[in-house]
Amino acid sequence: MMWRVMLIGATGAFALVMVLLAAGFLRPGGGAPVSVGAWLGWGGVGFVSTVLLALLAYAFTVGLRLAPTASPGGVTITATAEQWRWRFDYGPLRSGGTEAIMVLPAGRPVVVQVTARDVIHSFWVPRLAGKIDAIPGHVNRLRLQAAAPGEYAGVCAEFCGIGHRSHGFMVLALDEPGWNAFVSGTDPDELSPWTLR
Amino acid sequence: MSAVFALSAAWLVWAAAFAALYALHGLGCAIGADERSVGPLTQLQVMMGVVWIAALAGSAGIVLALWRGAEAAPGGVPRRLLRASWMAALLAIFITGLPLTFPSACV
Amino acid sequence: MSGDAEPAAQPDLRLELARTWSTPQGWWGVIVNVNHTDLGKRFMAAAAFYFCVAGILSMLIRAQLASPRSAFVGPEIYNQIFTMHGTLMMFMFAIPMFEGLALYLLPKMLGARDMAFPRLTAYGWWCYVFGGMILLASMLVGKAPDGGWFMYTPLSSRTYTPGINADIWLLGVTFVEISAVCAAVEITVTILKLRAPGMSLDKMPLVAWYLLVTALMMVFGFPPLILGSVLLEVERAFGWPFFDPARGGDALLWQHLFWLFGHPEVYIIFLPAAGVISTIIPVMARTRIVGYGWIVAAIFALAILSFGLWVHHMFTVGIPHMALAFFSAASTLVAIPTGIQVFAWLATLWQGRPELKLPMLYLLGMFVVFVMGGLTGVMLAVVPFNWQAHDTAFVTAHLHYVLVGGFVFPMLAAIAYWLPHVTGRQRLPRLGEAAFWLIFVGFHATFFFMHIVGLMGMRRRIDTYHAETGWTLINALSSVGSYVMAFGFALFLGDCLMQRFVKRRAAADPWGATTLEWAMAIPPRAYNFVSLPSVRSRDPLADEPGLTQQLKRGEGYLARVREGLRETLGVETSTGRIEQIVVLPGNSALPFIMALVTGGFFLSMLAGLYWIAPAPVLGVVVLACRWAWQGGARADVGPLQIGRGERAPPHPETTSTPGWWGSVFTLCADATFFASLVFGFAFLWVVAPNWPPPACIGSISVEAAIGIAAPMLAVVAVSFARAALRRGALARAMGACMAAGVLVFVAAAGVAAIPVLGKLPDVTAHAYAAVAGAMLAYLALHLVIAFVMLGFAAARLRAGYMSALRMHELAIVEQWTRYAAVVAAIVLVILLLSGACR
Ligand code: HEM
Ligand SMILES: [Cu+2]
Ligand SMILES: [Cu+2]
Repeated sequence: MMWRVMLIGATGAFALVMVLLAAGFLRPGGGAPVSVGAWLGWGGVGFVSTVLLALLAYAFTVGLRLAPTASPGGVTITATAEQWRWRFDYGPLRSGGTEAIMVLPAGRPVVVQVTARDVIHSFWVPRLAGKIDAIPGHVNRLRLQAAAPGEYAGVCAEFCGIGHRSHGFMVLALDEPGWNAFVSGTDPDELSPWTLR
Repeated sequence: MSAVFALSAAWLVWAAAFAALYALHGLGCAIGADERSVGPLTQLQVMMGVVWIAALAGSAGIVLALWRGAEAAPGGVPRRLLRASWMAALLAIFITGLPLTFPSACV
Repeated sequence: MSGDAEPAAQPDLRLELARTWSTPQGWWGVIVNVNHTDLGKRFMAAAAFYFCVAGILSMLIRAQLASPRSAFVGPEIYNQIFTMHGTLMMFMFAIPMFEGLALYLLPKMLGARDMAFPRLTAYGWWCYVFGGMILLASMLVGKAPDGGWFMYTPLSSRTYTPGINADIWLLGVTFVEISAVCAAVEITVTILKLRAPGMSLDKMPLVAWYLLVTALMMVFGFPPLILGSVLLEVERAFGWPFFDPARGGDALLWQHLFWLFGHPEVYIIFLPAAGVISTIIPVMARTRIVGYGWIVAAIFALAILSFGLWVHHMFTVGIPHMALAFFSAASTLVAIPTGIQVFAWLATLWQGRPELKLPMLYLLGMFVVFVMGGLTGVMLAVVPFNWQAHDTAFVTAHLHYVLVGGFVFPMLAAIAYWLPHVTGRQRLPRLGEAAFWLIFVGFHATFFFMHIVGLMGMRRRIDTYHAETGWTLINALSSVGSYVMAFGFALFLGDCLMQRFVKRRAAADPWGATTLEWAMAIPPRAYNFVSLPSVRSRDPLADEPGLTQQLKRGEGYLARVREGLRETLGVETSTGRIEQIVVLPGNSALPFIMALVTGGFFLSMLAGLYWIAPAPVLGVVVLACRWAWQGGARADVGPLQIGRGERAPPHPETTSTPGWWGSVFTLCADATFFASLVFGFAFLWVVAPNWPPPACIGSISVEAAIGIAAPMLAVVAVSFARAALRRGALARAMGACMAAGVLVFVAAAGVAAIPVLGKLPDVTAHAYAAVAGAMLAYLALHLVIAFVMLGFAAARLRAGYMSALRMHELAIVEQWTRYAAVVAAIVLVILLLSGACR
């Protein structure tokens, strides 16, 4: 949605500049002084700032909705990156953590606490949320939610050395029974997104 | 050189306000100023709001002075240009400060 | 005085000028040459060379990515390739290219005979050469930097990059950066002081405004990166933990310092190109620029706003939403002054009757590419979108649209436009047009679809990908496009080189331009103008027909050679009123030797031979004294004839000399460096993990009292010396300088006592002590500088180089003494306050 709005706006602005440019060459006449106020005042300042400020207002409102505030019924998972592994811990929910695979309940808000042990990495599951950096000494929070059970690929999105390319993980979003089995200690390898199938 | 100063002054005020807001934000979040409330606002909002309004008022004052005063040109820069710069900077200070109205500061 | 009698024009004037400004033939001539035309050409040629090297690296990248699962090179090599591509393009191509253009053009457009500090030009050149050699050599032996062009820590720290690769980047780039800061100071002073008489600021050609603002941005923009590099190198070499989170450092400090430089850098690259555009478009449209005043105001807005954007490169590091919104707002605002310029160019085209000559063709390419890059940039400023696109091929595409559209196309236009000036010859028809279409089409084929693979999730900086991703076709297309583009560049280069062989003379002003660089013989002589113009309008060549001939006949200023000295005129900074005759230094090997010794320092650091490093530092101090000792005068001569019935004093007898201004801007850069360090301290204190530190600074009230009071007294002593000199009391002035030197020495001893008496905790244990140590080192350095300068002043006084008229050298020494006193007060007060660190 936001992407479409921006694309249309950008195409429009680009077309406008191109038309003005072409007209400058093609139109007959020329050589008469142009109005500075009209070109720079209305065009340079007026037009450009209207478009930009509209975009900014839009960005502010969308951005506010994405703030990683904890919400009721939510789950908190800690993701720890290191060269070149991902570890996930579930706090009091489950005693053992998982490696290379992050398990979460589908349809419920999840806050991921992201950190790193050596260099900077970045936690990114393109289909679920934007990215957030994993920085040693800091804990960043990202809110995401998997609408449906399934498997989602995650990658490291900050250059982290030789193994950067394949520094990925898998997100396993489980339905309610599967999640319950997981928190009570079942190994994720034995679970599939849809328990009932 | 005075022309260079005259042309930069408005934006330097913007830069100072911007830096002050960003620094206060970092400091305020570190000391938990967003959790102490002052009336309907938080302490952090009050601190940053004061800076914002001061910068706005200051540059608005200069815009007014430039509007009235004699038609002299400080540093050889035409009045018209200075007025435009200061008004633009005033607007820029206003817009950069708008996030202050966001409900939460430190998440 | 022989020069004081005014002959109408010396009969053999051109010969005399040629002799005065000439350089010896052969290798020796190459080394001692300080002429701005020659050095400008060298800078541009070398930048073109690095463009080719970095271009070949980008071909390798595209070869690797052309097909999935390519096994052309492994990640070890691939990482070096893209890191070097980015590093060379940004530091070795873009910045030096515009520096070269500025060096070549500025004096000519301003109506002067050379830059303000010719030896500094040469020093900058040699630093660039030697720094570049370090980088190239590392590539040849396969030990090139491999951490990406922004070198994020901790990946670039000793633990994770144990080899020499990161040191190469930090030291090589810093070395080149010295060259950039030299150029920035020199460009600023040249524009402010060495203009033609009558050229008030508002009569300057627009490109001079652009370059002035760019240079000022460099003065304030480069020091944060230099500081970051110094700190990271000290961490790597000596284990001071500025960026190590386990010991109270923070990796984010590096990111702040880097992008505090890195974002303005983008505009530092764009503004000179925009200056070129604003120069060429009116000529191509046979009219004058629309909205001169608007553009000047917009440049200033752009320059300062661009310092408030750096965090938009850090939108994903976990900064609170409100702070991101500040930067998002500023990033959006910065597009407005850019928009004003684009509309001014469009309006100028509308106002005139544009012709599609070759430079204009490249500018059309600029319009298309740059506007697209600007629009994707605005998208990236939107935080939620940024979270998806950050670090993907979308960003790679965006940044190339901006850099190629905003810099490469304008530079190609500039070359097409000014090459006849450089060579005095015409180009072959059609070749340049063919090159344009290859480059233009190839560029879009390479980068346009990269937006889409980026949105499909292709990350940047990966060496291979799987076929199942569906990115294969686009990547193949992109690689083919890049080869088409490469052909275009090769053709363009061939076209330029052709001019050596095809000898068709160009007309004196082939484009009908109106700026002063065309009011001279082309190719230009070493002295530029036979006599210097007096300027009454923004377009002197249009408004004063016959100006070129008048100048050639020696009817302007300084149509004579006085005692074999290289002279040009210095004016008051705003009005352009004649103020002084600036006597410029002649050929000199000092810049070369100084750069060599500076290089010795960097090499000893690279080799880990830290115990040798002090030797070259001492060498630099000695050479600097030698450097400053040359020039000046031992007798007062009073105002001299400069032609047209006017007189002006030689610069040593004035106060507002280029040297004085140069010192002011150097101090500005220095103060920015210091401010960044103080910012680092505050930042770590507030944000970094693992604070408070295990141990605090001990009680230092006595040391601090000495360290603060003694430099203040030294400042008083220097003021006293100035007053004495004004009265002509040389002996007293000398005594006062020496007393000030002793006071500064006492202060240095007081400061040294802090670590010596063990009051500074272990600097390798925690970032707190490391930054405190760095601040003390900075302070000590400036006390030493002040000490050396005060001694130097005393010696100059003794040797007769100062008098009641010739006071500017003492004024410079006073500046630095004051600066040292201020630094002492700030550092010691901070350390006193931070004694309560727990
Ligand atoms: C001549 C045509 C060029 C081509 C074909 C080209 C190609 C590329 C490619 C494919 C990458 C992405 C590497 C990756 O992320 O895997 C890249 C990165 C980059 N390029 Fe270019 N480029 C060109 C010109 C330029 C120019 C003119 C500049 C700057 C003035 C530039 C600056 C950069 C920078 C800064 C990076 C980022 C390097 C990094 O990630 O550390 N490039 N280039
Ligand atoms: Cu990683
Ligand atoms: Cu940027």
